[in-house]
Amino acid sequence: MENCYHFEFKYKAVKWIADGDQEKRIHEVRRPVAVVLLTGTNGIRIAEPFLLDSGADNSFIKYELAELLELKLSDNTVKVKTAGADIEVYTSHVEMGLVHGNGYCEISKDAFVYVFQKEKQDVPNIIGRTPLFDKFRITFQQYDDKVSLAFMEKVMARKMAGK
Amino acid sequence: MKSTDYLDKDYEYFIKADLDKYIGKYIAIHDGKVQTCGTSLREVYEFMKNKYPGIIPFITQVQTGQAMVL
Repeated sequence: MENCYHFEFKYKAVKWIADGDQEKRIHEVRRPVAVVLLTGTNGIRIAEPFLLDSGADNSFIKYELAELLELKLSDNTVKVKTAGADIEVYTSHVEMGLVHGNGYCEISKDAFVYVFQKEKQDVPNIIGRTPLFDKFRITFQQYDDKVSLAFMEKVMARKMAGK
Repeated sequence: MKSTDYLDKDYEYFIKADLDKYIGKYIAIHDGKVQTCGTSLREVYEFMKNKYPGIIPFITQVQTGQAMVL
């Protein structure tokens, strides 16, 4: 796997019909996702598409994922505010990187993440501003159905070198 | 690290495929198809580890399209 400094991910389109809609109208949403490579404390590696959320201060992963990777969870939950309601989550750390094809870029060897409680099944894994946005210049191009991420250290190094 | 260019293909399949019938389930994608689906991440991971021991499995839980405000 080569080191990479620029990634481009397409939006994922999902179709759905609203509950109780007699006319069965089909709606479509398109969501920005990035493929995140997670490495557990047990060495298990898994690639998962994460929802890119510029409105989230932090990143969130599902309990089952933390369990599979044998991440050490906080003893107690903490309260986090969301648009819907306050939720209780655990805290943990995990090694994260972005992966696309043959390219890989480490996000953090020890990224702080919130872990949803076990009963929260219908939630996506979310990558928020910490740690991703601290290190990448991110451009959402919804019109073109894609999001691009440039690793800032590499971008700066290229600028300094006049390339 | 070994080449992971197969993940590019797995991701492309994930983007293009209609996965509606798997909503709520975990799926593993490889070699241009959904290799397995299940209700638990571990079950899907174990299947992939046995069938393709040398690769990093591309696994996701298929989400509904219903509007989300996070």
